[in-house]
Amino acid sequence: MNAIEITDVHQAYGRKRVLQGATLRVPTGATTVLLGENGEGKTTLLRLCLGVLKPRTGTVRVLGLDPVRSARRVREQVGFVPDKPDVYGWMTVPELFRFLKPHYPTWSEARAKAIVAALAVPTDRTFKHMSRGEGMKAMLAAALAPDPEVLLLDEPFAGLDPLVREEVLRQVITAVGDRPRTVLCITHDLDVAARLADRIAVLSKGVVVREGPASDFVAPREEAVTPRALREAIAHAAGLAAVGAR
Amino acid sequence: MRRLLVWTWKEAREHAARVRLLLVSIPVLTMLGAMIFREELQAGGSTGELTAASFIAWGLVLHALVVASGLFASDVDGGQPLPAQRLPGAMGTALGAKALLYMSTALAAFVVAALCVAGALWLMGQPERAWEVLTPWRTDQGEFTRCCALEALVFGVAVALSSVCLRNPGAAVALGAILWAIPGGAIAYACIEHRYLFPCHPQQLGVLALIVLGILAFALVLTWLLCRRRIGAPWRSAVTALALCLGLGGVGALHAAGSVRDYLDLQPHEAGWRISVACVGIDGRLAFTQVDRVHHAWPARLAGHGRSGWSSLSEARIIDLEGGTWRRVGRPGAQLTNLPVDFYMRGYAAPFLAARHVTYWEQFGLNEPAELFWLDGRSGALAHQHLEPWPDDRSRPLAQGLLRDLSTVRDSKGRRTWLWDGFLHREGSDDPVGVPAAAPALRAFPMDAIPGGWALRHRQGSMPKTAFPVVEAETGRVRSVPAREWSRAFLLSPGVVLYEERRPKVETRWTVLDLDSGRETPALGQVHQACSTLQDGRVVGTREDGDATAFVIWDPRTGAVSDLRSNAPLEGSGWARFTLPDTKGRLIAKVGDRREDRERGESTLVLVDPARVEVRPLLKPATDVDPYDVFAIDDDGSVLIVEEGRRIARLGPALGQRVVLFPRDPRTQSRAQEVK
Repeated sequence: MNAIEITDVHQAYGRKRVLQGATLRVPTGATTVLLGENGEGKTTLLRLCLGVLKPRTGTVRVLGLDPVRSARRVREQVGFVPDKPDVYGWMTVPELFRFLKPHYPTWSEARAKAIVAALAVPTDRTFKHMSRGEGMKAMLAAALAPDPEVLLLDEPFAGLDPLVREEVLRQVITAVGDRPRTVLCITHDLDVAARLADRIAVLSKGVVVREGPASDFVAPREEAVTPRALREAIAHAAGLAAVGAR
Repeated sequence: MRRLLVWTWKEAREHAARVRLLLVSIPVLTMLGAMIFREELQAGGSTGELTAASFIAWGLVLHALVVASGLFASDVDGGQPLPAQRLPGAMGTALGAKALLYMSTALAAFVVAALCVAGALWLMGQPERAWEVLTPWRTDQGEFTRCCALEALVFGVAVALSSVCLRNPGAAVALGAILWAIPGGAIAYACIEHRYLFPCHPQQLGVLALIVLGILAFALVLTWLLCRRRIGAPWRSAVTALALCLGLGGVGALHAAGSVRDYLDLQPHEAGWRISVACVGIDGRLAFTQVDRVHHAWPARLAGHGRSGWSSLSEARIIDLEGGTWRRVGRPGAQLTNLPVDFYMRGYAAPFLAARHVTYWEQFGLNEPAELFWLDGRSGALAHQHLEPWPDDRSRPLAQGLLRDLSTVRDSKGRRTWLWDGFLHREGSDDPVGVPAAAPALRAFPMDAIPGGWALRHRQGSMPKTAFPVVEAETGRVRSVPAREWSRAFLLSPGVVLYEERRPKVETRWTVLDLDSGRETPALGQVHQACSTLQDGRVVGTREDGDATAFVIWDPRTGAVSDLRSNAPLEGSGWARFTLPDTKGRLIAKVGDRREDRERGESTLVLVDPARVEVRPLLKPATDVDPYDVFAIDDDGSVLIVEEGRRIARLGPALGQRVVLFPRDPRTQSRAQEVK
């Protein structure tokens, strides 16, 4: 059973083609890491899953629903963490939670407070006066508070200092371990991918060129998925795609 | 509902500082403005009302600058989906909250501005006007306020629409001003250049402002909704939305343009065709007509007036009475000037058949001078043109000739006389008499003539209630006639006036007044129901003769009364209504049975020819004679009439003879002729 099914999706911004027949299956309860270089269409795939973009061709299903036609039902069950805090700068974290709460029927005040406490998010400062790491922790707390079925992470670890990155990563791992939860995560950080991923997909030139369990990306002699092994595997997959394109 | 509450809270928090700034700025700026424009605000009439309305509108403009310019800025970014776009059900809720904030703050700005203006007026000692300012929906004076406020709201919505695309408030205001100026400029141009067609009244402008407001608001909603799926491309959304709105508006505009084209392309057989006034050229071949098309449907309907309450389109047209063709003269809205256009005077003016020239004028725009055109009365070709009110060297003799042609006023030697530029001119004399009091009446055309002289009508300002000045044709003296301006009065001889005195429910009384001695003498007696004077000072009147109407001539010098013979019996009760004599001394009377209960009885048209001492009926008595307007008497005694405002026909010279000259039967192109 797949929580997210993306089938032969094409998408473009003006004349610039971003996705050119991308197909991706994200199994329910699995953590899938989407890897790829900048400008390959990773964020676009996430926006299609969130229903803020409509694919030109192809289909997208999230929890069996069309995220554009059933936008509200899909978004109520999907947590989204952008690559940088995008909420109103004048809000504090409690104000943000008060603002978000009516949008999610499953919003849990206790869960929100627990995550905020666990991540040590400052509650008396506005977003404008928080560091990037504090802001991202608050965004993660806001995304997890409704206990979503699906979690979409758009490079949430980028630009964070190592300590904060570790905190956020642990919280994500904890959230995944709480109960079966589908996660689709975009990252450039291979260390993160290696620690988080059940499955890995590689996006290159608008097409998912390789997809499979994380263990498939390393040679049988390797004991575990490592960043180095991943880098080699991605380079190999991208090379194959380039040959195919020629 | 909870979502709407939190979004409203978010909007209120986000714009709190701006709203505070607005509510402080309006009183300060209004009071400052009231001090600077104190005289204008205190002034009565439209100046004061417009000033007060402007102050209130400026409050709303300030609202647009402060609130509307940043209404969407925080929720539309160039790069990524913001909460309004990615939270469940947030797009519509966010828009609702923003609309709520916009409308509530606009209302607050309006109320605060109105209170400040009212306060300023109250401090200036005008509490009544202060109350009117606070209740603009109750008074006619409030139209200015309503219209100006709507215009300012249009600007505000245009700025809000711009703020969807531009995060910078200054840029949003600039783009909003452009969006506002495009339809505003088009409407202003239409009102100035084509005001015969487009509404220029504040109430009707308010309707147009509402339409533009609706279009912009629709574009705003559409832009916002399109933004949902075009992250990072609000411009594309705005352009798409505006294009869609303009497309829809274009369809409406095309429909309206078709309607306007049909309206302008007036055809004689259409129901809207109305010939209001007419005259004929010197040889009787061309009729110069003022044609009105009754109300244009759509602007009147938009203004909520149905088909009434909208000024009709008036055009000058030349009709070839022999060929049955017609052509428009000048632009739509051109007005023939040497016609008896005054409604009261229409039934009273002289029929004439001798105009060598016909004039018409076109007004360029609001508060601009008119251009006067001279047409050749024989061919209808353009002879000359100049700007009024500065006649040039060429137009002066033309005006003199026109006034001579059309003058029905003669002196005791039978010479035609006329007033021009403050002088009394006589036919065949190069020695005009100065009449300084008549100088302002540059256009003392024959419509102002009364037998024996001219009444100096007051075209502007209040009319005198008890007296009006009259220029004697014989001497050029200006005398004051102690009667209401629009009552009938005749100069029997220099210094001697015959005038009627009408009182409600009292029999009309005629009085001869010696202006030098002030001696009044009752005249004509009760048998004379109506009358007109001839050039020699004699008076034509009617009296009741059993069941018939008899015409008499009364000579005031001898007191002798003689009957005019009629070739057919004239039924009626002595009621009649005369035109002034034409250049040959003939006149037309409507004769009939006008009962006291004012119900219309049967009546007929008769030609009174004092030279032949006869009266000749032109029609058999009927109940529908009133719609006939006689505008020319031909040499053979036949008359040209406008029937029901739609047809030009010739009556006579034989009783019951009637030929429709225009419009021709569209199938046969022949004249419709009948003899009853």
